Amino acid sequence: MDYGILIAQATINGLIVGLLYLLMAIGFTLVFGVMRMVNFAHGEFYMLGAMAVYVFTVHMELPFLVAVCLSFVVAIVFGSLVEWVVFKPFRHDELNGMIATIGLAMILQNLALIIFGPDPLSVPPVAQGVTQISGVYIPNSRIFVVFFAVLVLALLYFYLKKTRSGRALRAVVEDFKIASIQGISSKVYYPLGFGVGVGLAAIAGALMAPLFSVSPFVGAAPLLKAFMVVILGGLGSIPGAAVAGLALGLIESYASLFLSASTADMLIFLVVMIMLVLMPRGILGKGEV
Amino acid sequence: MSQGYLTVQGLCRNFGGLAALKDLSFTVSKGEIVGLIGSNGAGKTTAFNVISGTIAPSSGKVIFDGKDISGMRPSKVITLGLGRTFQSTSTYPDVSVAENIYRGLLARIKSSSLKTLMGRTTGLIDDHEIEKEIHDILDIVDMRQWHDTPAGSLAYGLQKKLGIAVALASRPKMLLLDEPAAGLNHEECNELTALLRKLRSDYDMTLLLVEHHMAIVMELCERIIVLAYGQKIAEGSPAEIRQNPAVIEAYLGAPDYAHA
Amino acid sequence: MAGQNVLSSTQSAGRGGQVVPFILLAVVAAWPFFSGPFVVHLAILTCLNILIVNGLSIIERSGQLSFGHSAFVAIGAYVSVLMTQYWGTGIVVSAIGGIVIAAVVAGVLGAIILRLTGVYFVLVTFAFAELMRLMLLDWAAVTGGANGISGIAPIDLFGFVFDTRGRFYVLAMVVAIASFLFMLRFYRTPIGQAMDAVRENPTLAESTGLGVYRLRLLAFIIGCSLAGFGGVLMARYIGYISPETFNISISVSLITMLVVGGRRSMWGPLVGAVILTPLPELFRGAVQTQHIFYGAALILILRFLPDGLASLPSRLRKLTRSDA
Repeated sequence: MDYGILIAQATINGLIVGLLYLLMAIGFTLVFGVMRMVNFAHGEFYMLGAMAVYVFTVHMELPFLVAVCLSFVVAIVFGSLVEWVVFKPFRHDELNGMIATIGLAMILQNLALIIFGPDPLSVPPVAQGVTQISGVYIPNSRIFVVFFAVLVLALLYFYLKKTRSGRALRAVVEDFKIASIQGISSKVYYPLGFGVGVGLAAIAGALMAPLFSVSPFVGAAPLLKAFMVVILGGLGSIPGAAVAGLALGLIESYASLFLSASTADMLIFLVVMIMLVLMPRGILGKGEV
Repeated sequence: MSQGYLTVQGLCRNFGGLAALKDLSFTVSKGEIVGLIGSNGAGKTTAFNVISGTIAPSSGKVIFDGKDISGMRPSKVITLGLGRTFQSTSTYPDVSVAENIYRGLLARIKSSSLKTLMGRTTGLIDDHEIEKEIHDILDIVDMRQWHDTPAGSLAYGLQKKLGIAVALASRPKMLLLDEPAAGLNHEECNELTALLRKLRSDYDMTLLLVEHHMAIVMELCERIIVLAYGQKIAEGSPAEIRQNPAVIEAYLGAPDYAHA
Repeated sequence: MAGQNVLSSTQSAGRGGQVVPFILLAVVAAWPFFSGPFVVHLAILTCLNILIVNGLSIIERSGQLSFGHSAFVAIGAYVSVLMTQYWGTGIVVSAIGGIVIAAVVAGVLGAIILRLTGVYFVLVTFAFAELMRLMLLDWAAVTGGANGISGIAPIDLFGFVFDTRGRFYVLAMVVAIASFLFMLRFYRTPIGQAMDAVRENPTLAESTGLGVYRLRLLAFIIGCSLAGFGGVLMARYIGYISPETFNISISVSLITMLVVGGRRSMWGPLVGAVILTPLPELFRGAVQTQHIFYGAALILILRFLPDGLASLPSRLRKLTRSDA
């Protein structure tokens, strides 16, 4: 058995999954950073992205890339609207807001169940065939997904670093107290933060749609992963979420080589707990305690 | 440096890249009333938070009554006799005044398992002494008549007094007061000054105040310590401080002084 | 206790109205005796939920919200059943075992996360519940995996077997009432008062000698123990347990019961359990609609009646008083 190939394969797979965890986690961190609220509906926006892509590609026969962009737009608009309509009263009442997101999650998932039913649906693959790079096999569809994901991340990086609203958003996430002293308007940044945050979750769901089947239940696992990544990366740290997302993808991938899936999950939980004890500020030490 | 009742030695506290306290040292002697002044961001509240244990120092020491309390959590610090009041949220608004005091002395009740949980051995009281103790505390701040009033419905000045009363319920020997005069009118300020003087003369208490209200500071405090950018820039009697050029430049020249 | 006369009636139903809730309760409790077996079944589940949600309430009243309460119900259920299965222990010993293990796990978990910001508590308890489900699925050799454990023998207490619904209902009702009385009593003790103080103003509480960390840890341990006890009983009523019996959606329903019932009142867990346990029946299989209703109800209650349905009487009283 060529362990080199095995490890390389696992590394590639781990990075691919890690990219999606990264998207989920950054979106989650954005929402938390701006609204100081744990968004239990984050997974359902992932599901929204996936289902939207399904509708756009299968029912409306739009090309995949268009479908992904549309899904993002739908999610951002819907997310901002939801924040403004449902969560506005909870803007300074984070505990109740958090519980309200549970209500939202229940509503979203069950609406999807009513519309689409519980059975898994498939989205046509983005590309056929497999590419081989020095002994490692990567399905072309995954290469496409990675490409799009990296593109999204590049755009996100540009947005957060170079545009005014993006920089302000980052400032709010990284130091909430200072930003609010400087008078960053909650009227704009709450819906924007929530919208962009859940938009990223939707993109993650949209990109994953052709790789796995979609159903109203796909949101639960990514939500949990987002939690783990955010703990590992440090609450409120966007770079931490990025590093931890990739790290978690890799750890999972390597662990699945040697352990069963649920043992791997247990191991990761244990790692998370140990991190909380030893490094409560997260991998990069920039999170809050 | 002579050992005072409260000694702060080389205290530093960093928040990320920001040094909120830089090598701060001062003492307070038993029975003194000392004021800690400085503009916003000078580090006064941070100093209080470090001394009372709410946050840990990055380096340096806090010594109270001969014991090193650096980094000790507040619920332990109070058992040694050092209490504090807070600028805002200083009461339990949803319950009555009497119950506020009751909560303040919960940790001292001898017969309860709470005492065992917290491992407290000093300043304990018996069940039958509780009501009297509550009345005594209320008498010190002259709030007996508000015994059953919900704390949240009290006027602002009374709420602040209640905050002091709750701190007194632990029968501390020294009290850190965080802007006790903020938002008080002229009459309430006089009451406050009288109360604090009474605490020192009748109850042997030592007081350290953070305050912006210059009139109160100058009138009440025997010694004033001035902070700027996390460091001590001056220390002395009110008269000395008033004339100190560095202080005037850093602080007294500022609009805050208009309060006096 | 001497301090009692000082305590204001913030938690009671009000001077005059204090009798009415108890009368209502007696009527509701007696009703199943005059109805069919299905009503009794719902009543039993309601009683067990009252116990479990009271446990959740204790945790919440110290200022933390546990999103993994179902995991501790699972621990109580599985540990007690496995003890009987492997060591042949009777109900009393197994129950103690289930509760103790739940308490120990809560202690270890709590010790790690309670020193950190409240958000970590939410995230970790949620993850823990999911982890528990996965562990139960995975250790199939011990737990029966996805098939669970069936044929659990009913409670045999010194020869008296609780093998009929009627008998179990009496047991469940006694336990539910006992948990309610425990809550009443507990929050009049200094420790209970201290926990209330910690929830209302942790900084102030800490500065007066009430160690927030220790009190929250204690609350977590006690609350999870009650959940464990609920699991012990539930296993022996239903006769079957599986990892799906204790999944995340159970944790969510428990939180919904507490929030909708009322977080600030002794009656909250009771009202929440009584209203939400039988509710699925109203929807008769339209599960999705039911959950949408739950979600909407949760949001509406949080928005307009954040102290839950149990606060309705005092809210109405205030409204009528201000009209006068």
